[in-house]
Amino acid sequence: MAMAAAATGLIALNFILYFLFGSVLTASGKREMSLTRTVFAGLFFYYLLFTLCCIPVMLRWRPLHVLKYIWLAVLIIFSAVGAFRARRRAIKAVRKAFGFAASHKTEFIVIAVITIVFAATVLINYQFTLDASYYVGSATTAIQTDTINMYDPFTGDWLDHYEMRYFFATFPMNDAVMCSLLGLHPLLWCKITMAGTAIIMTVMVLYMLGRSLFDTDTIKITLFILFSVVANFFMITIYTTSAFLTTRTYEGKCLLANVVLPGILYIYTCLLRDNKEMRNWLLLMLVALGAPVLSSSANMLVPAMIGVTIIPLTLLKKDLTVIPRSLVCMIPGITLTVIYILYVKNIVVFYTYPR
Amino acid sequence: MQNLNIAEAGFGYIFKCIGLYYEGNIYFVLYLVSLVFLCFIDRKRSKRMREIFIPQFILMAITVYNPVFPVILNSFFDVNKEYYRFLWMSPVIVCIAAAAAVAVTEYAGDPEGGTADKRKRGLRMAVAVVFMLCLLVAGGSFLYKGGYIVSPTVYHMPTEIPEVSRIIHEDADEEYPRAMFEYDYNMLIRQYDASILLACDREAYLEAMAGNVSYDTAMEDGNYIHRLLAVVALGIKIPEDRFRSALENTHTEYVVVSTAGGLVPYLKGAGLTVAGETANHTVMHYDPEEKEDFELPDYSEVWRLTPQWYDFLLWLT
Repeated sequence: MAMAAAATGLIALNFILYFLFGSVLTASGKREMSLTRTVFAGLFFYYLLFTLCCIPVMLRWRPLHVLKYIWLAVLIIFSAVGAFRARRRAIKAVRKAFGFAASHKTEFIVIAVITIVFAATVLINYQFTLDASYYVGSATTAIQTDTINMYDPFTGDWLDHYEMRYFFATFPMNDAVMCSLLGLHPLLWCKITMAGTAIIMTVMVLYMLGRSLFDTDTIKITLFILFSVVANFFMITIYTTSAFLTTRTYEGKCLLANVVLPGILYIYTCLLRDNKEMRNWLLLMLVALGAPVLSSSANMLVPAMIGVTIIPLTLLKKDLTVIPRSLVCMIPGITLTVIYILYVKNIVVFYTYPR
Repeated sequence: MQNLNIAEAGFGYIFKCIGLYYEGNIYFVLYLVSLVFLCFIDRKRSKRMREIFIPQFILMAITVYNPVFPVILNSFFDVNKEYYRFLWMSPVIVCIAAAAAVAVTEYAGDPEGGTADKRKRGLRMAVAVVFMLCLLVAGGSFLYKGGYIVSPTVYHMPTEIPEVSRIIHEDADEEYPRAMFEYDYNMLIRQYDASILLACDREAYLEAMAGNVSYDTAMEDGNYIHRLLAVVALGIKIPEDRFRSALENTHTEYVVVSTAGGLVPYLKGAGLTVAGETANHTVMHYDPEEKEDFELPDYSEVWRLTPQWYDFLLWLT
């Protein structure tokens, strides 16, 4: 029970890390800092940095514990830089956020209750899902063998080459590294800490969208979140975004379906207000760079979502500069998709030993 | 979508895909109704809502929902199993929830959003409840319709998984014993304990569950995995010597079956012995003639030949 409590408590650690990582990027310029935007940006920056550390170590066949110490150093350095950069703005932003919440106490209490009940309902429930044998199995296998993606999580047998579908999507390896650093079993980390993180992050993105749709009308925002959460319990087939949110919450695909894609819609609503605002484009680029780390499905879905959501801005704003900016944000996903096609055609293969 | 094939379904693929995606629920219809409500009926903010939702809807209609699109995409690379993920891009829940929020606050009672009038507040509550019921009915299903199961352990695993793992390790001579389990345990065990190797991977098991393993395929020469699956997954009792040869050739030392499944006498007949029991499962041990020599490959020579600046970290644990 103490372990479950610790795993639940670590959800807060994740959000603190995302906030500090986000602060490295957002705590600059003269604009006010937004807590939710900072956490949102931090999530993608965190995973982008992780994969930049992971891939070189993996390609040089080094063990997991090397990556663990490199990542520990990155965590310390970026958290310190984030804390330093945000030291004044964060206090101001927290005060402002609490002030806003205090003036709409009832609505924020209701939102908190909805989030807690939603998270508790999903986290306490037992679900048998096939894909856990890969995603959780990957983390458990990496820790057991002290290697990175070198063994088949399904059987435990050695692989002669890295499976390209998961090569850039290093989300499970982050699970392994964090478990290794914290001394936690991957099942606790994946099915409690990461599942809870995904649910709260989803509600946070809904809140951001709600603010964008209804400004400061907190009654509407609260109802919007309430109806969204309720709908997630009923739009259930094994394929829907809701199914991933309620049963496969520990997977990167859950974040892709419920945080990344609605997140791009949120960025679009911001661009609709001001399509010249560079920080919105930078946030979109950050999402485009960080999302493929969560799931390889992002390689296709993020460019497609940018294509159908952001490109129409060109007509609405009568601004042709939207097209090149959007195309630049599509490059990471398209590049990774091309690499995957080359792998399928046997042109690009990364082996787990020198050849 | 394992059973849906773009090459076979052709232009009809997208309709089948949408059908399977929503599988009887009418959330897509609710989404369209919400879209019309937000963008054309709710006058207060319809311009902004139109700008947010309509262009995306039109582009989705001419690309993702276009019957030609999956066929073209599939000619570049196989998207049979994953095409449904493009449907995630439609903000179905966002639209429905936004429409419900607007309808409850602005079209039930006081249009100014005041809350002083109890009667109007009651009306709003009633509309909210109606929307909830609407979501329920439109879904036609409920996540916990089969009952809400509280996780039996903090690991989100059946209580017997740690016990089975302990029994195997106490009995085994080697650090990495190989085992064969029934379907659910085969998918679960390595999430808990990755030092247990499996004889069968997930795909082979799914093939068996899909009906592609039979007595005949199990009896084919060299088809050892099918023999294991035939017996353990499907309960087909093939000749015991054939089963033994499968254990021998796949280096499988442990077979874990449910005690009530009736396989234990067959396995004993095949030469396995009981290594231990949990409340519902029996762990059977097979003593192979040739033991598997499973060792983690040693990369130290590779590290020496390809030095990196961070190699000082190798010596930490």
